[in-house]
Amino acid sequence: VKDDIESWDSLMQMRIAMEVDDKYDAEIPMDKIGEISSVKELWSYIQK
Amino acid sequence: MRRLHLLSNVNIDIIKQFLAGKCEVTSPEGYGAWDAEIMNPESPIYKSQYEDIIILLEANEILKKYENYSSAWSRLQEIFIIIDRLIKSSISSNIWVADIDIQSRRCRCLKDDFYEKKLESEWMSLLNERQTSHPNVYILEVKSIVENIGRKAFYSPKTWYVGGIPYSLSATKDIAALVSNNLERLENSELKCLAVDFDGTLWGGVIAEDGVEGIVLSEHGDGEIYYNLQLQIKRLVNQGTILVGLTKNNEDDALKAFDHPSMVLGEEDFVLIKSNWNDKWLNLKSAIKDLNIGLDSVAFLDDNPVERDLMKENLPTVDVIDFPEKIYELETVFIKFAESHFNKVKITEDDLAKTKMYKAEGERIQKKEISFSFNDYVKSLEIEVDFHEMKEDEIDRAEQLFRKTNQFNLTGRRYSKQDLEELLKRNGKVYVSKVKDKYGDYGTVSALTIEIDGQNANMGNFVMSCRVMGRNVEFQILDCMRRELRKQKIESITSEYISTGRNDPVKDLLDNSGFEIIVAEDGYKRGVLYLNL
Repeated sequence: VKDDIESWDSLMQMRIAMEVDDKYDAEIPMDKIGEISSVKELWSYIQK
Repeated sequence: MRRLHLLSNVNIDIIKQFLAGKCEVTSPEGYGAWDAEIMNPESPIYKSQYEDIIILLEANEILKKYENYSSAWSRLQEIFIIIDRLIKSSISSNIWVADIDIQSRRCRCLKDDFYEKKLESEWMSLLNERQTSHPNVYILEVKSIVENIGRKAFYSPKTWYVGGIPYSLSATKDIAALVSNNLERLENSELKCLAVDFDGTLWGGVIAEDGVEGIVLSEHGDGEIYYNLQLQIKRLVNQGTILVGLTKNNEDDALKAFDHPSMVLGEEDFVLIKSNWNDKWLNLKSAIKDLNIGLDSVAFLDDNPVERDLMKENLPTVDVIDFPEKIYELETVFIKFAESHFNKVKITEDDLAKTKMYKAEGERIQKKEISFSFNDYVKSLEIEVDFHEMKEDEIDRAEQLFRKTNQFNLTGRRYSKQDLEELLKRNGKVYVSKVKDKYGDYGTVSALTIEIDGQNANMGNFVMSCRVMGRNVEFQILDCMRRELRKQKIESITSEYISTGRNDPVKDLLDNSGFEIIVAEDGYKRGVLYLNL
C-alpha cells in the first residue's frame, strides 16, 4: 500500500496515473486519481 | 554534472524527474514563480552558477483570458520584457527559451484571422533576434514535438485539471529528451567527417553492374529516397563537414555515378574517394591519418551490415550510423543522427571554408597499397557455401549472373540461356553457389561453366555477384569445384583471365587460387590447376 512506499508522494501519484493511462490505456477517473492508495487498486483499473 | 534551473508557469515536476540523473535540476519553490525569480535581483539565478537556465512557458495558460490579437500580443510582449531582463543581465549561464504553441480555444468564424499563428510567429521572431545578438541564448524547440506527435497527444486536459500538468506523459518524456539532447550537444565535441559508402547507400543498386542509367536515383519515386539523403549530406558538406567516399568498386565505375542526372553530390564535394577493393576500415584509417583528424570525429554510413560490423570491430571509436531496415526511413534516421552528432552550435566562415581546405589536403594523398589479414573476421562471418550443379529452375538466375556481372567476371563471356542449354547438351556442366552467413542469406550469387575434355576440365567463366565480394567466398567456391571435379577423376582444370576493362578484381584470381600461369600477356592469362598433386 501507499504508506509502505516512501517515494509514493502526490507527484508520484500523478506519475503513476499517467503511466497507467499511457501503458495500459486504462482510464483512471479524474476524481479517483488522488484516492488510489495501493497497487491492488491500480491493478483493478488496469484489468478493467 | 551540469546544473540546470527550470523556470515555468506550469507544473514541470515530472519533467524534472525525467531529467534527474542526466543533470542536476532545480526550479523555484511552488508553481508559477518563474517571473518573480527573474525580477528579484537576490534570486539564486543571479548568484548560483547554473550552466543552463530554461524558460518553458505554457502560452495557452498565459493567453486564455485575451480575446484578440492586440491584447494577446501586448501580454506576450510584457512577458518578453521579463525574459529580456534575464537575457540582458550579465549572467554567464546558457539561457534556453522555448518557442510556443497556441491552441485556438474559441469559436472561430470562417473568415477568422487565425491570430494564434501570428502570435507564435512573432514570439519566434523575438527569440531569433535574441539568440542572434546574445551568444548564450538558445531556442528550445518544443513546438517541434507538438508538430511531431500532434496536439491531441501532446496535451493532457486531465492532468492539467488534476495537477496543473498540461502535457501528456509522452510529451513530458519528449520535452525531457529534447532538453537532455540539447545539453549533450553543447557538451559533446562535434563530428568532423562523414565517410559514406556508394552502392546501396547513395543510390540503389550497383553502379558497376547496373550502369549509370540503371542505378536507383531520382527526384521522384523510390529513387527519391537516395536523392533526399544526398540533399542532406550536401547540406552537411556546405556546413563544413568533411566528406569521404568509401566504395568497393573500380574507380572508373564509381566515378561514373557522378554523371547521373539526379546526382546531388558532386565529385568536388568529396575531400577524398577511396575506390578500391581493400577493407573500408583500412581505407578510412589511412584517409583520416592523412587528413589529420581523429577517428573519434568520424561517422560511417553504409547499407551493408558486414561493412558496418567490420568498421565497429576494427575502428571502435568511429560512429557507425544504424542504417534503417525500412529504407524509406533513411533520410529521417540520417537527419536525427546528424542533428545530434554533427552538432554545431553555429556555422562559421571557417566551417564553410573547411571542405576546400581538406580537399586540397586530400589531393596530396597518394593511394597506398595496404596489406592486411582478415582471416579471423571471415571466419567469424560463418559463411556457408552451397555449391551444386545448376538445377533446371536455376537457369534464369545463372543466365542473369553471366549477363549482369561485370566486376567479378573472369573472362567476360556472357552465356545466354540458349548458350547454357547447348553447353549442357555437350555434356558441359554449370555450377551455381548459394551463399549465406550469420547476417543472412544472399541467395544464388555465383555461376561457373565447365567443359570436360578427357581428364581435363576447362572453366569457361566464373562470375560472382559483388554482394559477397571481399570475403574470400570465391576461394571457397573454387575449392568446392576442385573437390567435385576430383571426384569425377579429373586431373587438371584450365582457365583464363580475359580483361574486359571492368573486371580488375579478378585479374589475380587464378594466381591466388593455385593455378600455374602458363601464359601471361597484357590483359590475358591462362592457367592450369593440377588436381592429383
